[in-house]
Amino acid sequence: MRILAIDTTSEFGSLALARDTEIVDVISLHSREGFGHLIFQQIQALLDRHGLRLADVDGYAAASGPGSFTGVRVGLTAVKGLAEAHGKRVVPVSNLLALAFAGEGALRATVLDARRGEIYGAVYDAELRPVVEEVVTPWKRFLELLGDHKVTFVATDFTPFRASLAGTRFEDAPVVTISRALAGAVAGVAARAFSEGRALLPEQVDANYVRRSDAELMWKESR
Amino acid sequence: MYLLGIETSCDETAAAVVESGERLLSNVVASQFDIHRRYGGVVPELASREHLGAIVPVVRQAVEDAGLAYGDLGAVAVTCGPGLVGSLLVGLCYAKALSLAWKVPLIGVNHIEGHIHAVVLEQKQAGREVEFPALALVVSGGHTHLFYARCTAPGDYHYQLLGRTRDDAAGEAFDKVAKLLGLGYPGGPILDRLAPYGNPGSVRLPLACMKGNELDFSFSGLKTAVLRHVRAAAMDEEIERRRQLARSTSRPTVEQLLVLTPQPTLDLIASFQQTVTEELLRHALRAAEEHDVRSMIVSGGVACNSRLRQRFTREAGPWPVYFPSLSLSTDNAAMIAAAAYPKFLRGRFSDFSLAADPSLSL
Repeated sequence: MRILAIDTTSEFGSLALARDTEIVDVISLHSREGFGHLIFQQIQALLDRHGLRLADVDGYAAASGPGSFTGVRVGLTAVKGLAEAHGKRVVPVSNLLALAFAGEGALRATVLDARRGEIYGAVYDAELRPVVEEVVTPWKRFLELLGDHKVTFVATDFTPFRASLAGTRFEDAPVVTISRALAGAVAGVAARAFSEGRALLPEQVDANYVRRSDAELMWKESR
Repeated sequence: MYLLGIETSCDETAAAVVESGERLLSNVVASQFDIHRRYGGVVPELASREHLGAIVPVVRQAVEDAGLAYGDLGAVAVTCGPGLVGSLLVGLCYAKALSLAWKVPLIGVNHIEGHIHAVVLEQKQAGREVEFPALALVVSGGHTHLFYARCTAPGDYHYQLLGRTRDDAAGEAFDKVAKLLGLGYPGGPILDRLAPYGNPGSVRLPLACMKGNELDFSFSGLKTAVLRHVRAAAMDEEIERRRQLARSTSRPTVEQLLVLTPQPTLDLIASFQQTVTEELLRHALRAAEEHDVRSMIVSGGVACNSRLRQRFTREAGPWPVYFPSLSLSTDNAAMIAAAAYPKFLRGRFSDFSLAADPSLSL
């Protein structure tokens, strides 16, 4: 089956076209102004390059976060619309899971910068089963959550974290750096979900924000 | 020609189908009232999150209610501004995806123009035409604008901004005063229901005196005057009792509110509403006199206010006044589809680079 995958969850976006588990093409994108105004032309260009129409796409996938809240919604809304228009299904893929898919090691601690002094993190085994659930937390707290696990760190950019491992038991832990063009990995995770019948109807797809909104975090009774 | 409209500029996820700009076939609005009520106003991030969840079923429902299939739609219209950027983006991206997939034109619509076309649509549906040029007052929680609206050729509309609020929108003033009085959110409908029990001439509140463009509005001074009055009248206890009611009941009845609202407070509410409607009417009449208009259009959420409707209907002098029905006064997508149809006829399509513009002007 043909899968079109989208990642617009950070300023480094990407599109991927896959045929079952084979990644046919990946387009890397970069925009500090978001992707809502350029992703659709890029989708059209990708399909044109392969002589395909949207009706030829059998299913859609999108990175569902964590990441930029608005960026997450742009990608998910796009695939919801594309899928709904032609009666197709969607697989939303966690960015942390996509990192684990692209990574290696028996236990993969995937890490994304969440800003505000926090990271998004999780641990998966080689079968991509969650070992430590997805969290948003300070980096040092995340290291505590790893307990005695012998992990391989997986990230698109591990530079901000490496120095802080000095003197910890993770000092010599292996690190795998993944391409920022994550759409290929998103398509890879989605291919498995499609083959196992776990794809969703467009209306069932929701974002994987991990972090709650500021309004919820800071809520006090309205006066 | 069936045109699908999508509107997500604030806290309503809406979709509608309009046939040839003159027949409303469906109008679906998913309100987020219960999400934002506890915060006393719209929380942009939460609004965006809700739009993402609602967009597929709302659009699907609008097409089903119209008795159509997706393949019957000839174009997709969508609000591209003004509004909350995160909210706008959900509607925009969904509309673009449908346009790309179905290979039908995409038409970006200004939300404020949509409010004007809610009236045009309903008049057409009744077999009538709004007489242009018209004076259009668009008044809601986010907007207070006066336009000189012309239709120079069939489907060719032009708008000249004559006046706008320099601070709070009129509907925002209603919301803030209601919040101040412990009456909950949204304030407009609550004040409208309580005002008839008060004497509108009992509390003297200031009308803004504008320097520069005298057709501009200002409502922040009025809000401050109400605040001063509340402080001077030592109303803390009654306000707290109403707050408790608003917290425990999402939609308190008039009877419940009247029990907790003494006569002087009802008089204040009536006087506030009277002052706002006076300000809107005074400016609209002056603008109509200064420009050669043939009718008046009053649209937007505040056009639901019964006192505003009553006063414009009675006091607008020689000009016929057109209001949308209540359901098309507040945010909806029928007005977006209606405003898009003339653009469709004239081939004014948008491309996929169409951006969400939170401060888009008309």
